[in-house]
Amino acid sequence: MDERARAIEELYRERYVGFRNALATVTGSNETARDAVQEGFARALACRKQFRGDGSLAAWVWRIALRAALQARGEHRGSAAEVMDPQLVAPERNPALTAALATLPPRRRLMVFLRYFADFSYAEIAAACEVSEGTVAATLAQAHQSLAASLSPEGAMHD
Amino acid sequence: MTDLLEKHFAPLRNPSNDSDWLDVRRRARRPWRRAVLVAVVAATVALLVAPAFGVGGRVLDLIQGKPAPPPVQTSFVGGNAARQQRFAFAAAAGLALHDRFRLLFLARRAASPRSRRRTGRSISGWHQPRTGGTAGSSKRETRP
Repeated sequence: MDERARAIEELYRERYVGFRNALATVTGSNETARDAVQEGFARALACRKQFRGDGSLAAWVWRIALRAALQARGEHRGSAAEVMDPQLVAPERNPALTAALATLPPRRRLMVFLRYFADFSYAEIAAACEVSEGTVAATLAQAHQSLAASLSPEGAMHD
Repeated sequence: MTDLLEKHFAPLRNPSNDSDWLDVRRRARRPWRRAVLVAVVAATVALLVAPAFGVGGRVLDLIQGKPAPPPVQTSFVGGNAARQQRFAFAAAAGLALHDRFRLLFLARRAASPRSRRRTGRSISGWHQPRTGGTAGSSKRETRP
């Protein structure tokens, strides 16, 4: 196995659960999300030579896995920001958070999902969303503020 | 704030790890299978449509055609002898030739005599598959 294949395998072993949980907000179930992750990593492994190596491997695989998830939904086009829906993953477990997430603009919600479900770093979110890290930091700060207002009893920030 | 979000997100995360790297590797090999399948389908379609373009008979001639006439066979046998001689010479000189064993089988008819030209001449061809997987060919014109 070559170096890039080993890197993909390492990424898979470290981040599988996060990818699956994040994609569950696209597909609507852990089972279909699992299939999308498997398919995404398989495609990434098969065409690993196309990865230029100058960006984030996690973000590159994420985009491939997201396409697989969209295909599982029967959609071949669409952005992650539009398709990630907090209502799709066990909203009964935390109705307050689900409601708060639903009020976020799609792009902010996507970054929150990538941060807290997929465990992406700011740099990886920036690569996945094709924005700068500064934009990610600012967007997440705004999202934190909005969510804090909805979730904390006193509606205050605790940064 | 981060702690607050962590606390809220924790119950939504499914902690179970049902990963299967072997399954990923198995799926990654599938494009090759798909390519093989496409090649098989393309070959089957080519065989099926060959008669429609008048090629089918010639393809069958490669397998079922009558042996070439004695002059053609003599020509091929002579070619084989010369080839064997050259290879023997090369082997004696210490040269390794990967196609050393590409000898000719008996020539079979490859081109149909139906390829008659306006001039009235008929052209027949013979195909000579070799043991190494390559092929040679020969054409001969016949006047009416």
